[in-house]
Parts: sequence; structure tokens; C-alpha cells
Amino acid sequence: MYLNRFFRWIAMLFLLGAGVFFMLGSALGSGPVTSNAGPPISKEEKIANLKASKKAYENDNERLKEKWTEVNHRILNPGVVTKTMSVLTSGKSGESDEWHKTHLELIPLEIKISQNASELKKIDWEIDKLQDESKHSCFPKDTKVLMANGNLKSINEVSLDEYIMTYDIAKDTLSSSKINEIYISPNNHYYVLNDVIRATAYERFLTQNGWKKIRDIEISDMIFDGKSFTTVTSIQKVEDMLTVYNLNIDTNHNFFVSKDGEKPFLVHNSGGGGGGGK
Amino acid sequence: MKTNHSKFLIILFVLFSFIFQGFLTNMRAHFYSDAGDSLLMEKKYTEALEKYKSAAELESGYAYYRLFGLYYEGKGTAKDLHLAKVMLEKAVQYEYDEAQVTYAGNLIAEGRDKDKAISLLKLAAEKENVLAYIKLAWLYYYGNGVPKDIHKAEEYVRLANAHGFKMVLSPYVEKQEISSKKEMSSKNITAQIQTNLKKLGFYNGIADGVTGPKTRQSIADFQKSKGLPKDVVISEKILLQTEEALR
Repeated sequence: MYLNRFFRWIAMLFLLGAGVFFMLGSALGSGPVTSNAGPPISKEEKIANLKASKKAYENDNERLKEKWTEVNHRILNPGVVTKTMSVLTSGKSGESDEWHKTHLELIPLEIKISQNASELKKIDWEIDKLQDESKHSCFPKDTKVLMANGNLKSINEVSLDEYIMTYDIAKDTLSSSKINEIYISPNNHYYVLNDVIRATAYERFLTQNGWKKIRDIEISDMIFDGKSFTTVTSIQKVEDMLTVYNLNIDTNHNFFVSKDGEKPFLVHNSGGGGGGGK
Repeated sequence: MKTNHSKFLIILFVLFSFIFQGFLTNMRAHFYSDAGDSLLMEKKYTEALEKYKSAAELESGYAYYRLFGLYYEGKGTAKDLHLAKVMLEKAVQYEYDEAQVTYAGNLIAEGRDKDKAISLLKLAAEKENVLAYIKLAWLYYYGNGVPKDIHKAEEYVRLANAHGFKMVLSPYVEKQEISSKKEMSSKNITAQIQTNLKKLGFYNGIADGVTGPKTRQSIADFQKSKGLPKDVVISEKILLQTEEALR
């Protein structure tokens, strides 16, 4: 009888597995395409190549965004939009759709910016795989978080609905907000910034050039401490199995972290407030 | 007893399948979109188009936006602006933030339904879409579709700059832009098109800014190779087509 029951369970699990496989369909068989041309190269070389490629995409996107911003500056000015349209449509177009003509300059830029962004994500995933780093951005348990009342609390001791200090970037001022979610997970590494702050690869700090993953922060970058910017003087990676924590904040989507009451730094929260997914 | 047990397991399986159906659909859409992205990166546009179509069938706004791009540019398929617009509207329907920005930009450029455009931009801004921040900054700065509000514009500039921009609010200098466009409106446009076509391997003459049979033929050859409708009358549109092909 037990044997029968055992086989029945096995059969059910098999059916379930087959169902999952069927639902995933051919997408599984046609996952991301990897290029394997050329002689084998070391992991370090691959990472260096990927980082160079990432830089090229970032530079290209910067150039495209500058152009995009400039076009918007002109096109969103109601005083010149009519003249701009007449310039854009002065030649014989051959296109009947008015929407295409009026938006001619922006659309190709937006398509390219979007494609570059997804290619940058892909490069990041390749780096993740080579460096064995997960996308979860987190902090070790002894990281101190700046609470709304100005006190510091270890990240593993905060509770849901507690109020925390955040930075309202739009209004350029300190603000407070509620903790919506607390995430706890295992991780295999952390980076150490200026021998003080520890965080996993994807944790973002506000730098003079905008939000930057700790993995991408370089010596001499400047990170925001709520009042001014502090220069990054050292950054190391430590491989170690540990439990890590992160928070989701109701508004502003950021908070301050510190080690033992030393200067706090502004970091991006986990989850909400991110870009649109697939 | 045994029958009851089997029934229980079947009900459990059905429940399990039902609960995870949504999850699996999302996962499949991600797989197809990822595959499409990889193929797009390798410039295998036809295959990428098929993957995005599969993801779009699973209600992926991201995939619809990619399809919009491919139909708009005529990559992997014939250029089809009508279908591109349909894809863009679908992506907006599934609340994909980049599509919301593009669609809102189009509404504003056409000067219709600015309220809808502003609300779409605000939705995208909630998802930290930096292009939405910039559009909103200029709209508040100029009071276009919204009441003029410099402080609000400055707030969006700060948000954009936290994402790596170096945006500064300043009045648009109309004369410079229009005159530079005018300078580009005749011989220079032709010369630039010729230069671009030369780089692309379609034109082997001199970039002299004169539109002759050789130039017209090379434009026609270029458009045919890209699946673009034939239109050999020199215009900024052809210049943009060649610039895009060079990227």
C-alpha cells in the first residue's frame, strides 16, 4: 500500500514537472544566446572585456540622452514647436502618419536608449555569472540604519511600519518614511567601502554622477552623506557566506546606512521605485 | 479511501496549477523577452521579432515596446508605422514605463490630449523613469499642458540628475536652433546623406551635396536593403535613416 502511495506521488510530481516544462515551452530551449567565437580567454579577461563593453554602451547612452534632452528642450517649448514641426516636415515625407512626422527626432533615440539599457542589463548579468554575485542588494546584519528620530538601529532589528530617515531628492531635504518590507536572504559576498560600509554588489549609493552600484563605484567617486559628498578612498570585495538584509521604503525609496554611528551614506531601497520590468 | 485520496491529490494539483499559472506566464514572458534581447544584441532581428511576439502574447508590455521599435525601424520585418503604433499602444496598455514616455511625447508633439500625456509621464516617473522626469521638467518649466511651475521643474531636474544627468533649466534659444536647421536644409543635408551612404557602402561618388542619379540610386538601394519605403527626395528624414543605420 505504501509502495502504491509512493508511486502515486512520484507520478503526480512527474505530471507536475511535465506541466511546468510544457508551460515554459520552447522559451527554455532558446535562452540567452552566448557567443563563443575566438580562442578561450580567462575569467578576468572576460570580465574586463564586459566592463569595457559596458563603458562603451554607457558612453553611447550618455550621448543619446544628451541629444534627447536637447530635442525635448526645443520640442516641449510651445513657442517653437510649430516652427520645429514645419522644419521637420518641410521635405516631401512619403509617410502619411502625422504622429510619425511630429515625433520623428525623438522616437529613434528613445528606441536606441531603451535597447542600450537592456543590453547593459545583459552585460551586468554576464558579470554576475562570472563573479558569482546575485542581483539582490543587501547589507550585513550589523549595518546601522538612521531612524526618523535620529537614532541608529541595526538593520536586523528594525520592524515593519517603523519610521526611517530618507532623503527627498526632489525637494533636496531630509524626510522620514515608513518601512514597507524587510528582506532577509543568504549571500556569498560583500564589498567594503572606505573600510566602513559593507554591502552586496547591486546595492546603489548616490554618487556625484547619480545612483551607482557598489560594484561599479571607483576610487575618487564621491558618495552622498546627506549633507555633502565624501570621496571613496578604498573598495574591496570579501567572499563570505552571510545573512543579509534590505528594506523597502514607502516614499523616496532610499535610506541612510552607517557603521557604529560614523558618517551615514544614502543608499537606494530594495524593490519599489525601480524601472519597469519585462 | 484510495479514491478519495486520489481526488484530493488531483484537486491539489489543479489548485497548484491555478495559483502558479500567473507566475509561470510571467516567467515564460521573461524567457522569451530575454531570448529576444540576446538576438537583438546579435542583430538577428527576424528571430528577435518572433521571440518578442511570443512574449507579447503573454501580455508583456516590454515585448510590445520592443515590437514597436522593430516595426518602426523596419528591422526583422517590413517597416510598418501603423503596426508600430498598435504595438506602442499595447505596451502602454500593459503599463510599460518606456512606452508611456514615448506615447506621451507623441501626444504632446501632436498637441492633443495633453492631460493624458501628463498622467502617463507621472506614472512613468513613479517607476523612476528618468526620461519622464526630464519631459515633466520641461513641461513645468514652459507651462506646456500644466501650469508653469519653476519649483516643480527644478524638483524633476534633481530627480533626473540623481540618475546621472547634468540637466540645467534654461530658456531655449530659438534662433540658434532654427538657423542651424536651416543651414542643414539643402546642400549640407545632401552632402551628409552622401557621406553616410558612403560609410554604409551604398555610394561611391564624391560627397558634393549635389543630388544626381548616382545619389538617388544609392538612396533607393539603401532603403530597399532596410525594408524602407522608396523615397528618394532629399529630406531630413533620409538623413536620420542613414544616421540610425550607422549607429
